[in-house]
Amino acid sequence: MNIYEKNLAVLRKTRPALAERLGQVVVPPHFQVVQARNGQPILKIGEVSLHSPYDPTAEGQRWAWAQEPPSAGEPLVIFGLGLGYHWQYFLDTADSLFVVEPSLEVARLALEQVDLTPLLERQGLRVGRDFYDLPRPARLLVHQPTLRQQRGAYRRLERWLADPSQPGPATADAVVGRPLKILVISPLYGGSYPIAQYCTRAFKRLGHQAEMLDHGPFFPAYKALEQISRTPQHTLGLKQGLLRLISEAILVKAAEYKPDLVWALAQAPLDCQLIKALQDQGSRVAYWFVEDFRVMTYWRELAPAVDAFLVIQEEPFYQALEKAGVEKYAFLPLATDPEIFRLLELSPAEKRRFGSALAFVGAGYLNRRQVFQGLTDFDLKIWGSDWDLKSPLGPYIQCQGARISAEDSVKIFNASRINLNLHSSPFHQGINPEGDYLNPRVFDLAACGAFQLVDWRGQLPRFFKPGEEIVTFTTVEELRQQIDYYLAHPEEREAIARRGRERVRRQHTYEHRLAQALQLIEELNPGAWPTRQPPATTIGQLLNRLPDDSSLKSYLARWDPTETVSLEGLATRIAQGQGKLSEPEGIILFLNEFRQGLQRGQL
Amino acid sequence: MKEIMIINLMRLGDLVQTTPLLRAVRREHPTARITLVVQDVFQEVAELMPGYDRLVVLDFLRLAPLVDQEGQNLLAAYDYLATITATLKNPRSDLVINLTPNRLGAILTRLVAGPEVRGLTMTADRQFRSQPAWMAYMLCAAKHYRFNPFNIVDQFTRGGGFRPQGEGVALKPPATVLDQVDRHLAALGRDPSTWLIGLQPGASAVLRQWPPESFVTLARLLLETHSCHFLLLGTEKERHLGEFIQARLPVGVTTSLMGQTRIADLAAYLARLQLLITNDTGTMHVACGVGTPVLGLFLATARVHDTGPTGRGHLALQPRLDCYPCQNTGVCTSLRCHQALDPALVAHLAQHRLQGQPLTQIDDNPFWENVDVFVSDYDDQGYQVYYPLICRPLDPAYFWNLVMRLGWRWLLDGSPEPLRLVVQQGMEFIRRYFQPPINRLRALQREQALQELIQLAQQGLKRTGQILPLGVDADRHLARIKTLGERLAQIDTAIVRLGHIFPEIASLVEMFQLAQTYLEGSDLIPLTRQTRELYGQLYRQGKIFLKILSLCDCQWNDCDLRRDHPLPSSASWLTGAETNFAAPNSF
Repeated sequence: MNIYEKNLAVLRKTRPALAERLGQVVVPPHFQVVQARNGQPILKIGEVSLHSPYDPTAEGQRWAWAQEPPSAGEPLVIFGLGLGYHWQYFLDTADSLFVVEPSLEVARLALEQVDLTPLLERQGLRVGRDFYDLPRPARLLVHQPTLRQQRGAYRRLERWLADPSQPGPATADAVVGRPLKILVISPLYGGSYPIAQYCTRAFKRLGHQAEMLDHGPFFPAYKALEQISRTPQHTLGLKQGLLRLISEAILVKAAEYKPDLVWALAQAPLDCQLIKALQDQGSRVAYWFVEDFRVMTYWRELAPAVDAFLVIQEEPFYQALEKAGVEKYAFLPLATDPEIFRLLELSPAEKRRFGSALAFVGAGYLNRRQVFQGLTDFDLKIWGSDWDLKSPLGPYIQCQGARISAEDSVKIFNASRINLNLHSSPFHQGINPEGDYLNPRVFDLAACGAFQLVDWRGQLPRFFKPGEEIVTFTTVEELRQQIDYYLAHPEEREAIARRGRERVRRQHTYEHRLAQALQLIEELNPGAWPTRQPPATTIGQLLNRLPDDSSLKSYLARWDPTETVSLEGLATRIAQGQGKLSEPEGIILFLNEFRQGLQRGQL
Repeated sequence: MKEIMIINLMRLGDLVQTTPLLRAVRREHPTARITLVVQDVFQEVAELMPGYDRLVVLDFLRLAPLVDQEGQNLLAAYDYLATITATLKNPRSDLVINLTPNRLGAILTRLVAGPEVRGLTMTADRQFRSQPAWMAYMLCAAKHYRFNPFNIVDQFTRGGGFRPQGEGVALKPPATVLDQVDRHLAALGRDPSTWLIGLQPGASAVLRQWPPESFVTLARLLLETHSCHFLLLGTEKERHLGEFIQARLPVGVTTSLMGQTRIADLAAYLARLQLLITNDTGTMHVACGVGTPVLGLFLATARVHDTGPTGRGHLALQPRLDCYPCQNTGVCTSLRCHQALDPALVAHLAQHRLQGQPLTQIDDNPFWENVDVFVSDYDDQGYQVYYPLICRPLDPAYFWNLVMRLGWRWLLDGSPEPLRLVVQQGMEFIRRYFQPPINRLRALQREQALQELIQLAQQGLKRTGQILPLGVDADRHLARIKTLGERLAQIDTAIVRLGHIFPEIASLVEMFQLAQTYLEGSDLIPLTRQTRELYGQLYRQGKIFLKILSLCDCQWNDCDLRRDHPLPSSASWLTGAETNFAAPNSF
């Protein structure tokens, strides 16, 4: 019997449901067990190690000693299981010890690597949200590397333990599924502008009421201000004036729309004052920072102000966020909208116009200009703006470097045999060897069933299987080899593209991401969402509950008893009805009006 | 009439402002039983209001959780409302006056209505209607308050079909509560000469709230000249404002009552104050109700003419800025109006009032260039009026406000007085309180806007006149009727656009639009006739306002502009507009 089987056997006796769940976990490749310098196993999630890569035992011991021991009889709860180096010292000293691990994958790997039986026998392991039976109050200790990965889960646990009056998981959980009112704030321009549109669509598809406050129309005015003055300070002042106006517009919109959530995309015209005002109006404000934190540093001001700061990078961004005093952050990678980015049948004319052996769609960043100059012997087409038409790449640039619409992008992706995807970097001459996050193009290309060659990124293995679902390169030389190979092997190209598309549709759409985002926001702000009305009942059910002499009963009796009905539905029918208004009808209209007034916050 | 019901489901201040109407109803129908219907949250206020016989309270706090859920709870909500409706219909009211300007009040009015209804209601065919015309004006003024010249108490009274009598709001705190309050105040150990001043730093919206820092400065300035004790008033939610002020003033000069007073307590404390300094709040109206002098601060969207303190001799300040009153929904990042009301000026006026000095007009001074100060009073017809304390050249906004007052009074009251005489009386008021305007009064743009409005109304009359004969054989002339209908739609669009461009005439346009929603039936000829009447009404209204402008201009230019007489105790303008109150106009 190996360690895993031994652990599982004990767990089956003590917490059989958890044993079954952990037995079914498939651990993704970016969860890895590697060896520390001293030969002990340690756990890595992506590039982040949960333990010291030198001596995890010594590190765990130091951590344990640094903690204030629990008083006699006081339960001890430790957030973060890891591979046990940090909490094992408390097995002997704590009267009752519980370890809460938010990740099923980590728990599964720990079962495989460490003898957990002393903990399991005392029923001390809790995984995910299975902590609502823990004794309260309790001393809570935190394993920092786990905290950085799972801030929301920690906040939920912390709140639960700190407030014995808090009700059980029925109210604390079951977050998504209630319809929310969401106001999406778009930027004026840029790469995150279309993402705001995709988010709005995805929120709607998830069953929420979503509306986008489109700031695109303000962009021409913003640009026009640049023509007014040659003095940069004046231009800046004018632009700030416009942004102030837009801020007021956002506040007005929110005051009228009364969203539960304001969902802002990177570069959206928000500042701390506006965020505070939105929060004062009763909305949660989440900011999806789909930027490289090293390039765009405005996060320092915004991140501490919002209710959830969602990022596409992990370490060392997490450390920087914590240094800046940000507590409510979480990882939320990019995705795609499969209704926009899709397989497309193209006409022969479209294939001629948009097709090539090699294509790139995107802006002409310096590193791209350099790399693509090494590909000018291929049938190459470059689409997008900010390219130098007078450079050696000039003949390859399409449409005089005009911006490309999403619809045309889809045609290009579908028509090209190989799509290049080189992440932009202002810090590197060519390919960024330390790139981490994935741009939306990775997901968009895959969703179109297009074959892509993408520069290697640290996060890539957690989203795609390299070589099977996507093909990567790290140097121009390797890129050229891949191009030669895959141009010569169309079947392999198509198979990889097909698998990539399936993976994206299964796991990486905006619907997947935003459902996760709502969960994260609620975790970071337990109790964030309002209680929504439950589903409507049928007329028959209502009739059964009414006494025979009820005026409402005789009124409802003429309707189909199987029909689902709500107060709002009834009121709408009455308002549109014919004939003299009866008293039951008037009462229903009154009640509906009253409820709407409550929801508006103004009777 | 035996049974009269007044429905007011609004908030504290609005409820208090119903008292002049209650008194007017009682005066005209001394033997009728008067029922007042209010929401539970403000039951305590209603209990302090004199003038009714029966109070029916809608239990909104009970209803709220019931309607929040479907199913069984909803049935309980239905049963509750059915019971309350039965109570209100037993006996059926001869007259129901609904002052609640929303659908909730309208539906309830429909449910309990008797033979006569005034105010917004729902008709049997599920349409919303308001009558008499004053009530329609009230709905329109709520949307276009910028140039509304009538205080809400007068709108309530006239909307209810009664005549203002120069009476402010009235509340009567119970004697036992007054005794308790007296004991508490005595326990504070104040010197009898110490001024007892109330401060109400909160307001319904943050933008309408004078900064607490300004209240602190004001209090310090008052303390420099006289011994004062400040009662801090407000709700539990506003307590932080009181704490802010209290922490910055010397120990012992403040007593915070924030979050600790029921309405009866509040009324009793207010009754013992020498002055209340307040934002535009329900507390202000309660103070007016118990006869305490008020110094009101009106910011952002709050306007003195709409909801200023009622009665005589109250002071009300509002900013004199190009951005005031707020044109948006109350969102602002500059808050210039908060800075405009200088604490030193407020302190100066407060001292003036506390020392009992006469409220005679004062000359303009750069010190208060960004502020308008008004004194409350009644005109000879008993309507609430606010005259300026600072004598300045008549500015276009105030002038237009007066024009609106003259015009709407003449139109809505159906005055038999010649328009020339009414304007003459209005101009006397102007000459009494204002210096000559810097520019000519008849702003060309507004005159043009009115002329354009009249032209559009004429076009409407013409087109409807063309449709009527065709309607006799509509099938044959379908294409022509359709074309004319499209032209009417274009005219309506142009009218609405005009109202947006010139907010001064927005109330005319709004009244026209409201009346359009009241058109009944779908048969072509009756519908066209009704539409034609509306264009005719708009035409007449436009003409009246144009005439007023013209008369004002003539009279202003003819008269002696010297201003050398002192301020009278009562502003007597708009006299003699005897109206036919028995048969109020109806839409």
